[in-house]
Amino acid sequence: MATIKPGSQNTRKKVQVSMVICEAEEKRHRSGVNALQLDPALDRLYSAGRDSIIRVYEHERFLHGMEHHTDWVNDIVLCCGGRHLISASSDTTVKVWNAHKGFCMSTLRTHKDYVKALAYAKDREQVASAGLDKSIYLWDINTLTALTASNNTVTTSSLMGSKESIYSLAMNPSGSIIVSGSTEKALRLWDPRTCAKLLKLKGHQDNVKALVVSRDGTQCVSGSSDGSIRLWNLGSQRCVQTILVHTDSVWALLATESFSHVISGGRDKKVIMTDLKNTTHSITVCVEDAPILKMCFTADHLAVWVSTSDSSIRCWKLPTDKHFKEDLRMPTTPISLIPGGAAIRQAVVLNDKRHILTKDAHDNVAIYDVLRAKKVEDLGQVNFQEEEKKRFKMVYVPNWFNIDLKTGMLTIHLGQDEVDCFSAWVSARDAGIRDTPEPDHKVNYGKLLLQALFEHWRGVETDPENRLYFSVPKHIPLILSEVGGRTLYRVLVGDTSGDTENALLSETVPSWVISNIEENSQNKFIKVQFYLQPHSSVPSHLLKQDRLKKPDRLVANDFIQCRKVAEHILEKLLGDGTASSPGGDADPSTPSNNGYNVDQIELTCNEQVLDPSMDLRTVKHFIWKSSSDLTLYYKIINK
Amino acid sequence: MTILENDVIPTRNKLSLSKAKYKTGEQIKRKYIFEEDSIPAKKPALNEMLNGYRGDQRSNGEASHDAPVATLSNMGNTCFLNSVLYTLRFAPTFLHNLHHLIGDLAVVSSKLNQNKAKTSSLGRNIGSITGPSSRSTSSKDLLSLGSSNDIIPKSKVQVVTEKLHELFMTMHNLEIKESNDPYQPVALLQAVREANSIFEGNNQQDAHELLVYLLDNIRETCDVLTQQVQQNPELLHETETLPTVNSNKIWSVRNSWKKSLKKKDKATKEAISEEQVNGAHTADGEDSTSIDSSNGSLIKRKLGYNFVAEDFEGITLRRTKCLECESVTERKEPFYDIPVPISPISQKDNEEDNVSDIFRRACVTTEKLCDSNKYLCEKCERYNEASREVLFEKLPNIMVLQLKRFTTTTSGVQKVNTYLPTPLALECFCESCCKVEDNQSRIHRYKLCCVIMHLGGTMASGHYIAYVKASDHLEDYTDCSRDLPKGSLSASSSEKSLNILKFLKPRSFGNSLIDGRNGLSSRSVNGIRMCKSVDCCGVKINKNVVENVINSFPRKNAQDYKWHQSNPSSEDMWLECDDENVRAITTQEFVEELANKPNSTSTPYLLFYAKITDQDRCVPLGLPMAELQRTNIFTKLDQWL
Repeated sequence: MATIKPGSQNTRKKVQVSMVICEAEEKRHRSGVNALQLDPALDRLYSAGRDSIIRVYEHERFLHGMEHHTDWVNDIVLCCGGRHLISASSDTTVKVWNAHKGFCMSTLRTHKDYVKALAYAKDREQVASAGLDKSIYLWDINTLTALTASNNTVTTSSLMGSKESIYSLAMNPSGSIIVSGSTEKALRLWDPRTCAKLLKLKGHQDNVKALVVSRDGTQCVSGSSDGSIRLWNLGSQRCVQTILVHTDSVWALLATESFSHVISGGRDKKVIMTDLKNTTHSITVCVEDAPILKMCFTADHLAVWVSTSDSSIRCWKLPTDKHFKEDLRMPTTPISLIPGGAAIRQAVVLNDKRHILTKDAHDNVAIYDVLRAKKVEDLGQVNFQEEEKKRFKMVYVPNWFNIDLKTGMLTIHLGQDEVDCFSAWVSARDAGIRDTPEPDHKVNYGKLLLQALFEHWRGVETDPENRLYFSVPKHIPLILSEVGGRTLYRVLVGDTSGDTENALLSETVPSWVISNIEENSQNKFIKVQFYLQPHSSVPSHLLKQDRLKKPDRLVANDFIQCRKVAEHILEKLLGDGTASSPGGDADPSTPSNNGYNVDQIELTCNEQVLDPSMDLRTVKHFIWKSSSDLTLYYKIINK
Repeated sequence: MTILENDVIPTRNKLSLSKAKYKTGEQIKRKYIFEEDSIPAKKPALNEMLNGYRGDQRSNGEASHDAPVATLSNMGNTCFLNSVLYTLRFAPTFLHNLHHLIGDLAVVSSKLNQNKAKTSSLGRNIGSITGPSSRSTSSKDLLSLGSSNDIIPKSKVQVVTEKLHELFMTMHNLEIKESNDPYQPVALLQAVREANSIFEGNNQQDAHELLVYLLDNIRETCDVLTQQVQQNPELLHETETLPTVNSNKIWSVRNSWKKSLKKKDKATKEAISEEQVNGAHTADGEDSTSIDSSNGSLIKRKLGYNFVAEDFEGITLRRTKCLECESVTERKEPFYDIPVPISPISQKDNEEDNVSDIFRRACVTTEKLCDSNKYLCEKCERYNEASREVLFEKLPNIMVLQLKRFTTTTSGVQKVNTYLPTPLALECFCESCCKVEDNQSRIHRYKLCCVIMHLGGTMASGHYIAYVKASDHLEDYTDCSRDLPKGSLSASSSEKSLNILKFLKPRSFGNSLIDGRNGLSSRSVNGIRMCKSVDCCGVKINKNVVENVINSFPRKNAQDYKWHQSNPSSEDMWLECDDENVRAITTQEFVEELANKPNSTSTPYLLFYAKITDQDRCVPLGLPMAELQRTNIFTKLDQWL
């Protein structure tokens, strides 16, 4: 695989580590489908998902998924007679794929923002990509497919001049004209052969999201968020028709080969076919359940595949001349259906900061374990809020990761700004680890997960004495990216041991990961500051003299349990009046000073009695409820 | 210039404080009115004489020490305070509403104290409040009830609001006495500093910050009052269940009317004899009683009436549309003032564009959230491009535009002196007005009522001057439902009086107001009852001083202004309030002051616009009188522009 990195890469940006919790094979689209392409020769349908996966269906059966993007795939183009596929994604890359075998051949990182649209000139095997960075790049496909790891440079011509983000792009098969639609609310035309800017067509009132150009390059149809479809005569630079058949934004367009009819779809969930010679003739092809994102003809051009912001793809019969003449109604059921899966729409991290409660588009509630990177429980269609309440535990663990649902799957980010991925120290017992070296052994969630993610990577030698407590499935994608920016590298956890992958990882894995996943790295515990004050009932003769004057300001690890604090009180604060303490290594279970034992020390905070097993950060978060220093009171009770 | 001048006003400076001068002024004015009304042909001649005199006097450097209103002295870098105080004082409806807030506060706190104290029987208590015997309740008593024997501790916030009212009362008294001694608003400044530490020290402060702080303060006070009423619903019930109220009502009202008339005379005498200095002024005995004797629902409506929210607060609407899924989210936020960014206006813009468009474009904005500033769309669960519109669902009755003259740069806060026109009338740019087609008239319009100018190169070293429309705002006090005794004025009679007003030209109405003598003005003007609070803390412009300026207006410049066809009237007058120096200026002079002066560092900073709702559309609740008057004034303004 070749990676093209034009320009100098700014390595100063902090690099984050992410993983996507998914199944070994994601057969169904999890979220909306942004683009469709048909290979008529093999009867294969390619669909570009918002879940970052391009799926291939042969005779409407799932063949394989093409996974390498890390964000929405916005557009795809099938070229070279179906041998190659070009894809554009919101991960800012354009990828070149071997369509038949389904692997990514190269990645183009020229765009600086989401790549929204592609256009293809079949006769010249040229593809153009455009996006929110306002630029259009023109690629020679034969050059792209010839790229190798050693020969990884490619020249591109850019079409400059667009003043705003481009959302749609179209080119005629001969590659003599290219049209872009943008938030400028205007169409811009270029000659791809000379890269010369030709003209600008004004008329739309809003963003232009869909475009088709006629074969000869003299006509163009545009669909806009203003709800209108406009037919333009490019020679006379005029809008010759305004078609108002939709009640909301027009997002998708398709024109028949002869440019006699236009098929449009949009936010109003309708697909409508309109006669361009007589625009009053229009027939509603279908009404979907969700806004229409893309359409493509079937091999015989008698029906269309329709994709929406929902995950299912349906095939609908197109009206014929007879329908137009006799004004017949269209069937209300699709010819065919490729069912989609459910996207995760809601996710809440539970208090233990390890389990995540999710709800998907079909209202199914499930529980995921971040440390094992898998779903641990399906709860079915239960009430999400109630489930969240039910699973509330009075335990406070600091945040150590971020989640995002943009792909419809759970993505866990480590090392993002403001969240310290190594802040969560928990006792091994609480983490469910049985055979720990010592009873009070502490483990760090962030460290555990990173160790699991890089388990197979040979770049880091883990201490052989320490066993791995958790492991992550090998199919889990591991993504290294700039915080809030572009993806640097994506690899499956199980593939990290490969030579190429190993070398690439050595280049990209940030130092903050390497220094921390080594077992012998310094443990940096989070400290909490607190005051200990005797309750008024504590007889003053029990207190050491100097303790009467002012409260002690103490510092401890935030996971210290109240029992430990009680031990400290017994040991250090309750004395026989002499200043010196009789050694700190007294066994807390045996009766100590003045014959009291630990169980007789009762700690309170905000007048609430504290459970001895509760740790200080939980007390601070749930009982003290303030960012100021915690104050605990102690008294002696008789048992 | 001419010999005649000496005959008109002899030795003016010597008479500044005497009654003789007062009479002279009155004579002149009467003569002037007479001339104008009956023998228009002679008017120019007279004006020339008067103008000649005035122009001469000014050129001689004998600057008038006569201020048309009470003045505030600078206590060392307190021009920021003074300019805001002048502005608030002349902001339409402000004084009147503040007065009632203080009155309501006193009523509520005294009742709460009574309820807590329970020193006497319930019935007697109420009787003493609602009955005629309560006439002695002066504003002093009400305030002292709130401060000294208060069981409920008073917040610093409330103290500031009360001190503000006290200051306005003092200024009112000074005006009645026609005193020209500048007053030091020490007590208020003290209270402000105690309540908010940022105003501590003798440094120059941002007038805008103080304005927002004071408004916030009053709003908070209103909220406290509302809370007290809500927490003690019995405050409303007690009066409702009292059977004696109805039977006593008419009598008590009549009695109070007579009594207060008598009291008025007394009050004036007292004022003249200079006995009352600080806030001790009898006027609003009726305030408490009228509220008490009315029914419970009215109290509920009126007590804690949050006039700051009503008059100064607008609502911005932030409409964000994700460019991916195109779903729209709206967020509403209340605001006091609108920051107006200052961008250089090309000469072309200035000439061809409507000035209102400059402000509309600066305030109603559309922004694209893109690049590294993308919008987290809740529906797409990701960062997408979005368009964000900022528009105004509601613009306040008194709209404050804060010109962003101070920008923070790496080298500290810098002042932008770029010229931005200050129109006397401004088209409304609220959402519904923006939807109106260009050829149709908008629902609301605005007219300039106050301006705070900032003079100087930096915020720390500069000086503030306030310009206010010279008006008593008597229209604010008419038809006041919180003051007029119930029963004496039926709905039909008030309607009738309104109709009378409709036929009155604003000019003659204004003159009749001038006729009402300082301190002696009755609460009835042309048969219209005035809220008595006008005699507590209302503005009393010394008409003579204003008239002198009007009469001496230099004619020679008149031709320069196409709109200026006749002499300025009292409605064309503005007051330039520069600490202890307050002088009346004509609109023409004011416009010159606002005009573009190259390299000048004296720039308008805060612009106050009063809302005008067109008559043919729905007239909002509140003060229809005021609306009528303002609309008339507006048509005049419209002609000028």
